[in-house]
Amino acid sequence: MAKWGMVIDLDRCTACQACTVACRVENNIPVAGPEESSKGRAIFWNELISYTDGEYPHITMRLLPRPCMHCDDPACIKVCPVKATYKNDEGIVAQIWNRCIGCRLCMCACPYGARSFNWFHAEWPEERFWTNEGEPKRVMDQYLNPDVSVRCKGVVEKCLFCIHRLRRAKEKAQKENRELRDEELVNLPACAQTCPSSARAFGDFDDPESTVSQLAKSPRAFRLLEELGTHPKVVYLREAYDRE
Amino acid sequence: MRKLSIKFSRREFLKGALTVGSLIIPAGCRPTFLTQALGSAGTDKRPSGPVIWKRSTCLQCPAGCGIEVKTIQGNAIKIEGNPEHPLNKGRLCPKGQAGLQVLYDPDRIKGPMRQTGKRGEGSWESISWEEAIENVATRLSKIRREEGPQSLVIMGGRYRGLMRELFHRFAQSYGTPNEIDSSSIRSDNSKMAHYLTQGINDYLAYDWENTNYIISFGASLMEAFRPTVMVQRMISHLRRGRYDGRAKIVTVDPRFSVTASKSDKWIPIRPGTDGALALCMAHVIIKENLYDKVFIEEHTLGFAEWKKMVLDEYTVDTVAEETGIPAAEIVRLAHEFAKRRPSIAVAGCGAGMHSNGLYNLMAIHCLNALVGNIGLRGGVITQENPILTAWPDVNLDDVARRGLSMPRLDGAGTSKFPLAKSVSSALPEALLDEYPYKTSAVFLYYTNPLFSTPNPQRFREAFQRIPTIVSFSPFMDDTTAMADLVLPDHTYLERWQLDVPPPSVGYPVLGLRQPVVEPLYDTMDSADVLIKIGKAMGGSIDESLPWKNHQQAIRSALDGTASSVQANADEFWEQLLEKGVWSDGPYQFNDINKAFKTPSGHFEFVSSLMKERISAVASSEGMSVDKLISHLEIEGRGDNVYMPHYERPKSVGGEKEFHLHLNSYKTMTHAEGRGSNQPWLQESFGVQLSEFWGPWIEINPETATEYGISEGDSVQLESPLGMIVAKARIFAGAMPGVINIPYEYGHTQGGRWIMGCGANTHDMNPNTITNVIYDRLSGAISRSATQVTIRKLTKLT
Repeated sequence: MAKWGMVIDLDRCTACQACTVACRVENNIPVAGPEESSKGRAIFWNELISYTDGEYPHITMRLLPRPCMHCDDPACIKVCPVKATYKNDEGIVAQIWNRCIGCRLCMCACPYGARSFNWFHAEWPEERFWTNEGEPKRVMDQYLNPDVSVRCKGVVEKCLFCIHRLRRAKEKAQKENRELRDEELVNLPACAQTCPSSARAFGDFDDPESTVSQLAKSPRAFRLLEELGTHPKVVYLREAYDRE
Repeated sequence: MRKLSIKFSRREFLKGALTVGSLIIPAGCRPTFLTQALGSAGTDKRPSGPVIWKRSTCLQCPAGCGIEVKTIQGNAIKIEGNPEHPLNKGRLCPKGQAGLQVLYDPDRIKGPMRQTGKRGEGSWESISWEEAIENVATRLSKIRREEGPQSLVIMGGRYRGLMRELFHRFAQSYGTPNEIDSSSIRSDNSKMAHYLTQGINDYLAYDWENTNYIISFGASLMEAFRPTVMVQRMISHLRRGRYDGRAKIVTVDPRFSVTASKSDKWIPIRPGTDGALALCMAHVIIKENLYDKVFIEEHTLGFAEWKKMVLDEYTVDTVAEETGIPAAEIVRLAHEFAKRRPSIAVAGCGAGMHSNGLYNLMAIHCLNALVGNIGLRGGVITQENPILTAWPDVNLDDVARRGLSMPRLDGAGTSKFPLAKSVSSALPEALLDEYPYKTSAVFLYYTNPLFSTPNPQRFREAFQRIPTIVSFSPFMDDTTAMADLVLPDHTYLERWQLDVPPPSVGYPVLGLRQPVVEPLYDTMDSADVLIKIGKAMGGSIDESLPWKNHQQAIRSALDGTASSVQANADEFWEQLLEKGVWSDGPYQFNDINKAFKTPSGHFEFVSSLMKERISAVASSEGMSVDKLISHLEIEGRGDNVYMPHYERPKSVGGEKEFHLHLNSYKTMTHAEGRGSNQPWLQESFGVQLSEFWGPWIEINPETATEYGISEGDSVQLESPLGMIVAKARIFAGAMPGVINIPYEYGHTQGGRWIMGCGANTHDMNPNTITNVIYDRLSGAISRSATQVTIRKLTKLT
């Protein structure tokens, strides 16, 4: 059984946010707009977090892309009263949208802030265009990904490691009567596929030969808030600086 | 105008949505039971149509990365990088990812329109393409006949592929010398610095992959440098991609940017003094004999003179005081740069957009020559471009010849701006004064001077006087709102276009932009519009654009490329359609001399090209060279004028109560020209301080205390020109005495998200309070020459 996880090399990362935007496109994440954003209600399955330290001119800033950690011992699952969120056989912390009752206990429990709540129905502007068949279509609905359903108001959502892409890859492998290959997995999630600096790798931690297993052996490897015992399956590789 | 919002019942809508196979139900009329029945992500639902991937080229910035667009039943669903494109190799930046919001922008212009009310009032009437083209052709013919062809001004910005050539042919055959490019408000100084020293009037390509040390002067390598994705890839490679160690990256910038925070070392520098730092590094390198004597001997001219000046004038202590960088730090930088070869000194707008910008950039580039980093692995390389068919020259009739002999309106190439090719920000004065002649028509092609030029109010005023303004923009930007006629182009995902990226990998790269979806609206490729206008006007103008349409012109241009590599033209075209890009790598490090295109064939520390141009301009205007030099407000004398040296940057306002330096910058999610109407980018805009959707300024804690500003205050920034409003953020990464402001906000037009940013009635565009100060040699504007003062917002008007 696979154990899916990700490695993010902070030394490679240039904090460009391509992962953030790619994730929003791929997963039909609605736009919150200025007012709701200012209340902290913008939805990011993957977010770039900054942390500044020091005083001018001796200042440092860490910029950390944060997807869901897909913890092996997730705090969110323990508090969900309706089993809307669960860890699947392959270690992905999944969420059943239509089971969620919107109590947001999982959001309080998650130490990483990886979960977001849909305060509103996702809405798109009313403007339409005419197709060749003479049909008026709403413009901004057109790019929605049919592989991912749009969540409704009142449910919590989060990063799923692009589980729909994983399913497609499995189907393809099955059709070709073979196992999944590491090279088709490394860049499988939308964030990893677009990453200009190849800072992200996805793969199977159960396979000692996989890229992620190899990378995670690095002495630079660490996990976020490991001391909480959540056992995250996202491993970071620390930045290095040549300050000499 | 076509009525676009129509009412129909929910049942019909659902039926429509389901029959086209999309399982997404529009949110506004989505019954809850149905949404829930659709279940969780990744259940057994499937898109009903086959997925088709189409290759094309991005246009969210000038880099020209290859893209691959996922389409289902004619809808574009996702954009990914084209794995075969040598610049981005399958990767994309956030802007590239957000491209769908350009195509599906609900505020796009939906067809040709005519302004019916007063200029800028926003009352538009829809017209047909035939009528629009007829209208333009008639007006242009009349102007040509009655006022002379020089009274047409063609303002252009993002010309890609053949567009510059097509507009040029049109301008030539019509007979106007006034092709005004917006390059002077961008990076003209970079190109000019390379031209004067190396003879290459372009950006440079760098062999990033093999370098050991990068020192960047005001080039935001990880935010705003070109080509965006390639530079990110290369930085990643320099960090962890190679076995022979990690390269060191040093960023010299007044602001602690994302680039600075990701660099090994940040060197804060007093704005505009970058040239002094470079010259001082040279001083140390020369004094300690760390320079490449063989390279200097074989490939450079004028070193002895320059060496003397550098040794005499740029001592460590003086420069430490001028730049605010500790002396020991400067010495260390010089040592590292010379000893960690191959190294690269690269400069961007931060160093170039000052009144002394050209000299700054030349001085910085001299560092590359000093340690022999040109034409070698890990250094500066020379970009070769694909060979396109050379079309025969345009036939000029008498009217055109007369028009072309008239002086340009912007004064480029005269004693005003002797080295300039085009100075768009000097246009308003010429339009208002009607000097040297009156302007009757303005074309706007992908340029938005009413937003992007310093002191844009001047353009607003000047444009009121122009009888005919025609815009080709697909978007109702600030300037297009002032047009009389709008002939909207397709967006980049709907049109044909060639794309030769700016210098990048060294070897030739040629991208193709092809429609990935059918045009959504009644828009038309601007090249086709130009060809049609030519046809309607007839004569030599028609002859200058002898193609049926843009696609035919592209095929004609590509014949040259195909034959240059002995390929069959049709096969070449088929390959290009399929792959989306053609390239001819790898780069050959065979001949170092191809880097030097100056008349002497050397790198010139004393620029003969500058000398020649200055004396030509002086003699054509009957003044002495010395007079021209002092007229240009250059402090240097004698041969110093032609050598990279340091002059204090000029600024405006400091003599009054304005004592803070205004420093504007770009973030990665700033999609250049008209990127603001893309909510995905807006919601991820200012990552360092988690600022989104609205204007903010960064101020050093000490400066904030001095001016009584607290975190989060609404503040007004005032310059001698006026005032803008923003939110104050106290940031230890801001230099004392410098106010940082992102370049993005303050659009008056352009769409709901652009205009909604920080919604209030105040102006928020930093350009509004930015004075127009030039680098008088090159005509490039100095964006960082304005001094401001800051106070808490007192009155709401």
